Amino acid sequence: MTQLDRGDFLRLGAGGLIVAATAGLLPAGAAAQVPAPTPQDDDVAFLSFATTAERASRDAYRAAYRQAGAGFSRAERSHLDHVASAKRAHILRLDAALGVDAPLTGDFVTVLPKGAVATKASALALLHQLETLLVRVYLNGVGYAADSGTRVFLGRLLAYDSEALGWLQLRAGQASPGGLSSPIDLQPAADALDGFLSTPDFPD
Amino acid sequence: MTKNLLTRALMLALMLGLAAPAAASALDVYAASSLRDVFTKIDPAPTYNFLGSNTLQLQIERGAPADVFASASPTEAQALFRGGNCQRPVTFATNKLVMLVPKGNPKALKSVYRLRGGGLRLAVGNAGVPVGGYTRALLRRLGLSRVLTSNTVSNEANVAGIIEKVANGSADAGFAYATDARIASSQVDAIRLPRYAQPPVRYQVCRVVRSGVDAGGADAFIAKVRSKRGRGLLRAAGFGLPPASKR
Repeated sequence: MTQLDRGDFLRLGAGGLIVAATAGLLPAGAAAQVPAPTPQDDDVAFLSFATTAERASRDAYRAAYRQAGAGFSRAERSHLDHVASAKRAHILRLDAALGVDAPLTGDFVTVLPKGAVATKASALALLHQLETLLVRVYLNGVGYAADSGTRVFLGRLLAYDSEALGWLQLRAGQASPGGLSSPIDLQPAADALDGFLSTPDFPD
Repeated sequence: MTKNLLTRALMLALMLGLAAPAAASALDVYAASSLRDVFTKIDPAPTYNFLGSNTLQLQIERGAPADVFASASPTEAQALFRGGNCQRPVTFATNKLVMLVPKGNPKALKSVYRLRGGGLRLAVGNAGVPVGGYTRALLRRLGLSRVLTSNTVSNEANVAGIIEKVANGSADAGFAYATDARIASSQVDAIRLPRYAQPPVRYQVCRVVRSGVDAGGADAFIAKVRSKRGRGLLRAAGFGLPPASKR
């Protein structure tokens, strides 16, 4: 469960509700109404990118959580841990939607820049970079995925990661985010993600 | 008369002498085309049959006298295993896809996304051969499946055909394994592809199950491939290696 203080709650407003919904806290009836994603044609591209980028993001949250001396408060570390867990659940759902196209364990390893989570500021910057990338790709996917179930699914991931991005911005002392980011094409997104990936079993 | 007998005896001895090493090197290895260079370095002795993995699978299912089968994807080896034609396959190498362009990159194709514009000539493996399956998976992951309809596509039966088309300029681009790009580096340039979209290319090897199989020879060959020397040669050829725990 995300831990928010009163100020956070007021600032985030409805975002908190979205988080609750996307973190799997919807009533069973409401959750059942969400159509299962059945990706068509190139919808797989959004899901493939998402599952790999969410893995990198999850690993970054975990690394930040484990960096005890970085300067995060206990509540903040608890939040980092919670987001990492939620992302793990999202990855499982993404992989289920991808079926045989889902990457296997060991296909990719996340490579974080040296010292990326050494301080609170650097960790927040790294997480912000990854969340922004995800949000911008989800915006693209929500607009262009062919399958309606896939669009809804990407929309829920967008809602969750947007809220996570808001939390990061608040912690970094930035003003509350003014509007959504712009969508990004998969080509520059792939270039950005490549910097965080390694394929140790495969030739480089 | 005596001279004739001596000549015949000499000829018989020579024939036997020649037959002996032939029998000793009669191991038949059926392997994916992309393994040609490295397998002949690991062990030059066997009789090799290098073709597309799906073609080799079909030949073995129809009773071809193979002792070892090495495929460029698990699909073919696992199908033989499920059908009782092969012992349990093991992964011994990995690879990656690259986009090939003719040497000098005359069309200035710096990214795979440039194919979205259409109007180019592409050489890809046909859907049934591993490199073709991997290419289609890669394009799906990139959101580029449509480039197979917006460009003129030549479907090839194996990697050699793709390399040839790109090398001689019949194709503006093609998709093949990174190791093939290395071998043909004097004729083609390789364009790197996004990591997240790379399908895991895994090579598997197994001993064929049939009457008269050279089980000892097959096991010895597979051991050579998976040995320290074999892995070193695979690595030197540009292949990736699975972790020791997966061996």
